[in-house]
Amino acid sequence: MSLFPALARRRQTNRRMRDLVQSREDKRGLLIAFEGPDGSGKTTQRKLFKNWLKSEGHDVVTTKWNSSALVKPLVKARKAAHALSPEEFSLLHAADFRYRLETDVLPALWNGQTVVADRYLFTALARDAARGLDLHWLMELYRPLFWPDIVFYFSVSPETSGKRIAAERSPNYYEAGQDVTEIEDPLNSYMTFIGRVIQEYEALAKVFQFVTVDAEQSIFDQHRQIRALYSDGTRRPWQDWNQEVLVEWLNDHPEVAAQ
Amino acid sequence: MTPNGTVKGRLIALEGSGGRPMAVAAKMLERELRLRGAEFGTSAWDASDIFFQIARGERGLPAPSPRTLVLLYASDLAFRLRWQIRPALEDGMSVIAAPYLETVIGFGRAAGLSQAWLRQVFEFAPVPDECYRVPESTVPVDRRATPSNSFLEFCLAQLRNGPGFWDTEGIRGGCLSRLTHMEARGKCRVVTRRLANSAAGE
Repeated sequence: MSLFPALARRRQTNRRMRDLVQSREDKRGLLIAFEGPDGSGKTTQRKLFKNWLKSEGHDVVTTKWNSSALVKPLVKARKAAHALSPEEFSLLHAADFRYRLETDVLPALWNGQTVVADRYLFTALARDAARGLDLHWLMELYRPLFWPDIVFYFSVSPETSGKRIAAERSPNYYEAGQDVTEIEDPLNSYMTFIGRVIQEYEALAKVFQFVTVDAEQSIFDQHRQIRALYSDGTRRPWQDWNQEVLVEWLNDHPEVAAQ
Repeated sequence: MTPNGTVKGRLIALEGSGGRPMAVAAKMLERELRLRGAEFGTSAWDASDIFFQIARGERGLPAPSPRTLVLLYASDLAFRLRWQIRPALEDGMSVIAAPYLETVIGFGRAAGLSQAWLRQVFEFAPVPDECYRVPESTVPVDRRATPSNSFLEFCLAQLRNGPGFWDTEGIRGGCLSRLTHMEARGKCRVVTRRLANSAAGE
């Protein structure tokens, strides 16, 4: 007899769930992630892109980094108290991400909606690796990985990022990386920290083949480029690792699978 | 990952469903340690208050999945390691961690998560010097753990709230049976007064 009956039952239903995922392929929505350092203008571009998609008749939902009703209040309180170690910060973000994935992103994709993500798991990989955490461990926190159909990466220099942020506000304690740089002045700390974050992003962009957008260009030029890249893209089936996430989600939500 | 520093003390893990049996076992160990003049500290579940705050604020939200619950536990454990466990160990004290790793891994396994993933997530936590299983069969049902004093019961209560259907009794049984199997394979011992006595003296 199995020690874990739930696990044994799950193994039995996995094949049926895989078939279900494949049968949903034509009706599913697309997941488009906007990534880049602070001050790269990705939120502006995300809003423009979302409005354009809507005008084209798409049903669009947005998911933002660290925004779940479950975890956001926990992170907010701890950030205010400067009480988070890099590990705790990272684990709470991973919990927030998984919760949003399971309650917002996957249901929307399953129902054929387009999901635009303002930051995705690569934000955690870049920032937390810049905080000195091991990239391999960070990747594990987000496994099984759910891969977006497109990742737009907004590339800027640390100087541009710093100038844009300084023009608007003083960066907060964690945004400035003061928990790891130990530099008292927020802007100076930000300039040191964002350099490391951008380095990590650039490496991720190469390894994971992001679509890089030159975020030093004008807002209009960037938007035009994004539209063109999106329109020229070919729709590909869900990848194997995405199927693993979907099978787990369907197993946890038999009411969806039964529809 | 954050360097561990020089560890001098002993880490004693108590694993089980929590609640009254866990508290009694911890008290038993504490008493033995005190009798031997050893310095010690205790680190309990939810020292960081995450789960309390979730329980307080969850109205109307879909329950988190087992994977999300494991990540939240890991965050709480990282907090306990930073503020309670590592500083005490570095001061040469014994630390009773109740629970530590095996209860959450048992819960994750019983809920269908892979052993490899669970081990990787908790890679940051040092291996305990001693691991004890806290049996609960002798405790009256009304004195067993509740969602407010037990990680396992908290998770099961979350899963019962849905969405989805979870065989929570099966998960509970799987988690606790795994601890019994660990005991049978010599990877942990059942906590008894005699063992508490010898653990305090080791």
